[in-house]
Amino acid sequence: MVHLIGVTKVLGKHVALRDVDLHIEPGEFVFLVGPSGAGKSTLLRLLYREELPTVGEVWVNNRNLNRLSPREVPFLRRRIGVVFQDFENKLLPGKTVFDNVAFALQVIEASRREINRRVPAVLQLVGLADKARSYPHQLSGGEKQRVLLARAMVNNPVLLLADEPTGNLDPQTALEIMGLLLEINRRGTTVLVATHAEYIVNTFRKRVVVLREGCIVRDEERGVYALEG
Amino acid sequence: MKARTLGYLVGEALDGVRRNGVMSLASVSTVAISLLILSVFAIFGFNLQHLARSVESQVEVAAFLDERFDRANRDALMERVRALPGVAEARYVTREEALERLKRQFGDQKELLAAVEEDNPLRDSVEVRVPDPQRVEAVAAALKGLPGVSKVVYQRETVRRLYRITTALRAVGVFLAVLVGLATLLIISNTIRVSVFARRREIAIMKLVGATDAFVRWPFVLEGALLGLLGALVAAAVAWAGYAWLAAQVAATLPFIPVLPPDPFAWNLARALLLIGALVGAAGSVVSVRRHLRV
Repeated sequence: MVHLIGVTKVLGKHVALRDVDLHIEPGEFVFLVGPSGAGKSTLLRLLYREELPTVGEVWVNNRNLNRLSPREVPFLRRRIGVVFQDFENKLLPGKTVFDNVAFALQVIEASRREINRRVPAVLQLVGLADKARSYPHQLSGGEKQRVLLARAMVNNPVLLLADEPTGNLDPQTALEIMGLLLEINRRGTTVLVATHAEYIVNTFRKRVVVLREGCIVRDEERGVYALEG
Repeated sequence: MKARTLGYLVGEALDGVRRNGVMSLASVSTVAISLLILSVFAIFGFNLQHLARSVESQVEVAAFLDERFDRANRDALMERVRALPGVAEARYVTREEALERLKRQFGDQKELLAAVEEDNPLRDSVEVRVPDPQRVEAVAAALKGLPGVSKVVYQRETVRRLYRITTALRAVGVFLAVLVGLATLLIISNTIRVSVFARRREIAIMKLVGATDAFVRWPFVLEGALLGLLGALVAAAVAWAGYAWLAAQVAATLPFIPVLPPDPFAWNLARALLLIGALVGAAGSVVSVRRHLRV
């Protein structure tokens, strides 16, 4: 599903990733951990082709992203869902929960019928079926993150990328969101979560990839949060 | 493109115009004023050209006859005139006819006419049409050599001068059109820049969930075209009404000046303005979208 082969990414003078090799199989659930500035976000940005590697190859869903033409990028992204830490800035304040999620389908020219079928289903999945008519300002932080998750999932992506999805949430809400990510993974989507929340990683015991100063220093099945290799 | 998508894109464009209320208004007025200035030049330019053409097609050479010319020799004279190479048409105009013509042209200035009528100062003349401008000079010289001809006047200079002015006006007009086009392009592209900024969050989301570049760009291009079209609509309406009024005024007070009839001239002008407005508007947003929307 995801293959990074000898990837180095230089941002300005800073080397964000250094000769990284990483392979993730379809259906896996992977935590990407490490201190801030270790290169977690940069790695995720390479996967939805917001950035291109300086050196090396990035493969996602059997496509070499280095060779992807700009015209093909939108179609790659339709197969990938992305959620962020700053969910406040990723929702449209003038639209209801339903319309925020429907927006993702509208802009890829989905039919009205498809929208009316898929949006309620995905709101059901994230537990927001009763909030469809609410506006973002009427929601709690956890609920907003669920809306983002719904929007990321409404296209049935094969890969879900989450960059610090629980960073702005209290521990209880964070665990609920993580439970949701696991549920999404159980339904077949490959999930990659970048986080530095130790308790979350230790609670779920999934594959853990540790990044430090741009290098992968540890990669462990059913791992715990430990930054040393 | 699906009809529903088209509806969405147009809706977004309208939304942009509304959301940027003041900026949109500023753009529309700038476009309107720019195009109006252009219209004034077009109106003058095309009419001057029309004037030059009609002067050219009128009498080109007039040979005024001596006061003592005996009208008994009229036919002989006309025969010789018609025989000159280059002459297409020749007409004998008596001084009485010439006076009548004068009366028609200065119909309102009664005092002037009264003075003239008392003692007609005009002479008999022969009016000659020479279709080939190259031959006018030779024909004029030949006419001068004919017995009874005292003075030869030809309007080549007038026509030439009119054409010079037309050419100058056209050059100024083209220069102005380019300038106006640039100004319009600038204001519209700035408005679209603001519109792009106001929607940066939507744009980021659209790109993230896989909207195509074209889909992201279209509403802005339409918005620019719409602003240009609205401005052009104002300019076209004012230019059309203004020209219809002006043409009527000229026809009533200066009937000897030929003006282009409002139908079709004003209609064509309005159509051209609308086309220019929409195209320049769309071009302005393309410039802006290229620069500020790295999709």
